This record gives sequence, C-alpha cells and structure tokens, in this order.
Amino acid sequence: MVVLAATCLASVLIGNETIALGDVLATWRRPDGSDAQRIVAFLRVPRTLVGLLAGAALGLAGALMQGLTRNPLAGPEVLAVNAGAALAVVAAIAGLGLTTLGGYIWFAFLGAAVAGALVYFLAAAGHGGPTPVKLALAGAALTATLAGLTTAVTLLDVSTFTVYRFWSVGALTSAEMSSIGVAALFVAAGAALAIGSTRTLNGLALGEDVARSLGQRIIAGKLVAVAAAVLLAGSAVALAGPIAFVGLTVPHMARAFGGTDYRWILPWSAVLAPIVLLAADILGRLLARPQELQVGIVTAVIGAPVFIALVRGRRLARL
Amino acid sequence: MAPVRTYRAVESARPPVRSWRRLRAAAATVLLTLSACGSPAAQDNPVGETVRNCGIEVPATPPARIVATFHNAIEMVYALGADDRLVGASYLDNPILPEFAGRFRPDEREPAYYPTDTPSREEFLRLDPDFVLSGFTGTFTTEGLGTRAELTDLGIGSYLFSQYCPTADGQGQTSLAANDTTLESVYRDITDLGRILGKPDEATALVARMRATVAEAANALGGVAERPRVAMINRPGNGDIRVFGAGDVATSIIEAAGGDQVFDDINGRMTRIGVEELIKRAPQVILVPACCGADVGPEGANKVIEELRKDPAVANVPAVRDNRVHAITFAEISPGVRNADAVAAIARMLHPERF
Repeated sequence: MVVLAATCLASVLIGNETIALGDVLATWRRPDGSDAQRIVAFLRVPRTLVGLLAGAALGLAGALMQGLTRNPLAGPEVLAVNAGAALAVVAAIAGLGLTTLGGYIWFAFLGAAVAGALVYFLAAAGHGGPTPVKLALAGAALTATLAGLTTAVTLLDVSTFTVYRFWSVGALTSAEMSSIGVAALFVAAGAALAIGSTRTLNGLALGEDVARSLGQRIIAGKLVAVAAAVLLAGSAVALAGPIAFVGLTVPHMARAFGGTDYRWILPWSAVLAPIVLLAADILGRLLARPQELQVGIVTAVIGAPVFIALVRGRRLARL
Repeated sequence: MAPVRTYRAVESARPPVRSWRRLRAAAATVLLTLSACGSPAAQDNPVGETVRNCGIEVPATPPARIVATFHNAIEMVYALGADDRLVGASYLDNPILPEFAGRFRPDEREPAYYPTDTPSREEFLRLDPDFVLSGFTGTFTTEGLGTRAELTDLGIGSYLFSQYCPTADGQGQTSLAANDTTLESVYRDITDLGRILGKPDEATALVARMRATVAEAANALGGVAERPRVAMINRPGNGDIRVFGAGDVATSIIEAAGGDQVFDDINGRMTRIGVEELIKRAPQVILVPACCGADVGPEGANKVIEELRKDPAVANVPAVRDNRVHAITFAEISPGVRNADAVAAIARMLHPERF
C-alpha cells in the first residue's frame, strides 16, 4: 500500500518536466492556471488514475482467470475479452466513423462483455458444464475468430485505422475524465464480485470434485467469477487498450507474497498490478525523451523476460 | 467497397495481360521509336544517359506507362505534363490541384486510381508499367511493389523523391537526418524527373516559377526581426501528439516562411510525443496538416484544431491562447510542386502584417 501510494505520487511528479510537490498541492489549494498546474490537473492526475484503475482491474482479472481455468499461463485475454473489445472498436471506426476515444470506449466495453459471455456459454454448453479446459478452449477459439475478423476489416482500409493501431498498443493517456469516472464504477463492481468468488476459486484449486463434495455450488460460483473477470478486463481494455503481460505476471508475484489462498492473492494482485503499470508508464516517459513510449510497449518489453523466468520457475506447477 | 470497385473497373477495362503483353510492348516500342524521331526531348536524352537517384542509375529514356504512388508523385507527373502516360495512381492525401482536376478522371479513363493504399504487386503488374515514381517511403520494398533492383529486372524504371532515399535499396530509412530535405533537393528532383520523363523544359519552367514564388515571399519577409516558434502537429484521435520534425521538407518550408521549428531536435514525420512536451516547447503558431483522401481539404484539420482549443491542458500554449492554430494540407508539406506555394501561404500565417 505504501509502495503503491509512492508510485502514484511519483507518477504525478515525474515526467517530461519534474514538478515540485508544492506545485502539485497548490493545484487544488491555490489554482492559478499555470502550465505546471495544468499539467498536473489535466494530464498527470488522469493518467495516474487510469493506471490505478486499469492496473487493479488487470491484476484481479488475471488472478481470476488463472484460478478459474487452473492454468498458470492464463491472462485476461483467455476469455477473448481483448479480442472482442478490439473487434468492437474496429467496427465502430469502420461503420460509424468514430475517431476519438471518448466515442469508442463504450464499444470496447460492449465487445469485451459480449465476447466474455459468448465464451462462457460456449464452454457451459454440452457435457460437464464450463470446465477449465473448455473455458480455455472456447476462449482461444473465439480469440482466433475475432482476431481474424479484426485483421480483415483493418486490411480493407489501412489508412483509417491509424487510431486503432495506437489504441491497440495500450496507453494510459487516451481516456477522458468522464469515462474514467464511469469505468471506476465498473471496476468497483468487478472487484466486489471478485471478492465474492474467492471461495469458489479456493475450492477449484483443490479440484472440482473436492469442491463439489465440500458443498460448493460450482456452476453459480463460476458464473460470478467469469462476470467479474469480464467486467474488470473490459474496463481495463476500454480505459487503456489491450495491455499485455500485466494480468499474466502479476498474479504470480501476488502468490509469492500471498501464498495459495485467493483471499490473499486477489488483494495482492489488485495492489501490485497498478504499481507495475504505473512504474512502466513512468519509465516510458523517461526512456525516450523528448518522445514517449506507450505503456503497452514498456510492459511487453519488460514483461516478456519476467514471463520467461516464470515459465522456467518451479512455483508455477503448484496451481 | 472502394478498393473492390477500383479493382473491378481495372479488370473490365483491360483484356488478360499475358496474351496482350508482348503485343503491347512491341507496339509501345514502335510508337516510342516513331516519336523519338520528331521529339526534341528524346534528342536531349541520347541513349545511355542516366540520372542518379538514391545511388541508383535511372535511364533517362522517356517511359510510356507511368505509375505514381502518393499524392506528391501524382501531381508531379501532371505538373510536368506527362499525365497522358500515367496509367496508375495511388493515393491522394487531399483534393488534387484544381489545374489538374479536369484531366484526373479515374472513373472515366486512365490512370486507374487506388484511393487508400498502394496496389498489390499483381494489380500493379497488370497495369504493365515501365516506370514508377514514388513520393514517399514504402513503395520500393518487398512488402510494397518490390525493390528497385527487382523492378529493374522486370524492365521497370523507378524514381524516389530523394528526401526519402533509404539506407539501401529495399530498406527503410534509419538515419532520417542524413538526407537533404531542403527546397533545393525538391528543385533537383524536379529537374531530374524532367530529364527522365522527357520534359526538361517543363521542369525548368516549373523550378523557375517555384523559385520566384519563394523569392517573392522572402522579399515580403525581408528583415523580419521576430520569427515565431512553429509546431507542425497532428493528433490521431487519442491523447498523444504526432510531430513533423527536422529532417523533413516541412521544416525547410517553415523556415523559408519566416518561422522557427520548435521540434528541431526530433527527426522525421509523425513522431509520437506527449502533450506535456508540446506545453514545454510553447509554440507561438501551430500548423495542422489535413489528411488523407481525395475529398479531404484543409477543413479536415478542423477537428484536431477544435480539440486543441477545448483541451484545458494546452490552454496556456501561446498558439492556442492567441488563436494562432492554422489548418494546412498534408500535400503541400510533402516534397513536390506545392512547396513554394506552401512557403507563401505559411508566410502569411506567420507574418500577416507583411502581406
């Protein structure tokens, strides 16, 4: 928590031009409309809020997905949520001519929700209900289908999809204040559902039969957990674009701190992920000055080695 | 959809290439030989003479079937009066200049027009070209129409506006600042193209007109003490900003128009920066080039301009505060026939008191 607060503060202070703590405080106590105060109020604070919200959402969604599918390599993208959001954004740009993020954030959310629901019902259909393997398979299949459609639409008209290409890398600077407020509500709802599904996740970790014999209502519990994951991953993708690796790696860091109990893994993920995301964003501002690296590039570059280390580590096998 | 329609139009207008190709090539040779007898241009370019472009020797033999990729290349062909030989064109950033609009009728006759992207290689070969003029990077790569060496093997000559010369044939440009991006390099390209296309007199006249326009602007600006700090930017729909920096003719135009480029340490076109960097540089004038499409005039930039005016984060930037954010066109800041008029137009925006 202390580290998270420090990271948030750093995210407000550090950038192109370092801003003194006094100026930051004065932004609200003695507003004077100076450049420093405008940078704090309209640029640094919004992107820090987006980092906090999207980070927490990604961390929680990743932990939920890994618990649900009992797959240590699962991330928010396993439910085809990112692919659904991307296709919806592309369709909105192609069909409705939207070019600003304010317009398509809702399409991203809608696409994420529809794709997530579709994956759940595909997996739930047939014998045995939504087993981890069927969830992962349905997600992978739908992701491939949706990604193919997205590519087809973007290839038809390359020049108009500049907007999409920037969005698809992932950045904390795209969202507007009004959409941040609404997204915060969705993240809160998703987090509440996530906390409500810790018992299911802990039960599933013992194996489905054991969980059932302990008297858990597996199907209902899974539905809640999937709903939470879709809400959270959808909010993150709508706010910041499909950011890679955070949802995948952070739950493993959380296990290092919180052990195997999801009552601890979820909160740790929610705290650690924003730290990672904001730190990556700060690095992106500093590494290539006067240019800026989008946070999605930084998390991919840093995330890949961490991911490889995880795959090679033994801790993974215990899920 | 637009690309499909274009494809069909070309297909129906043309018989299968294979059976006709040899015949047409033979006919073209005969025609060329015939025209060579009477044409002064051909006499100026004796066989074997070449023009050096991006380290490649381009034969100065007037081509019969020209393909032009990118807006500035298309207009160059028209400006030099070689458009009767233009068989393919892709793609316009803004409406074509009014003086050429009457002759540019892709829905009725050649050139075949590809509005959103370079045609596929197959489509390109179907046009049976013997020369390609490119106004920007990407055309002469394996992903585009092929490297220039590959095209040479097919008997297709090529020319790339020299500001975009790659580090090697088929490669990208890794050292943007290394190329000459002055107006002089534009004049040199025009002169070279005049020789290659068999229109040396037209090229000389065009360069003279452009020099006169720039000189007239320089005259009007004579002795300006204060050169406003200018940023040329775009904002592609999300928070960040794209900069037209140094190592680009855009900077040469800004300077010739009596301004100082605020992003003189950032190389190349459409480089991404954060909004904070724009605030820090505090430009006094912001120019927003409108793009892309045959129906996108300067008003295409209005949306970005409106966003800048409404964005509280940049309200203190001098250009926004003093209402000195102007729309221009992408076509006029790409190396080509519009550059001199761009200098004159931007000079009026930077120093209205002088005009």
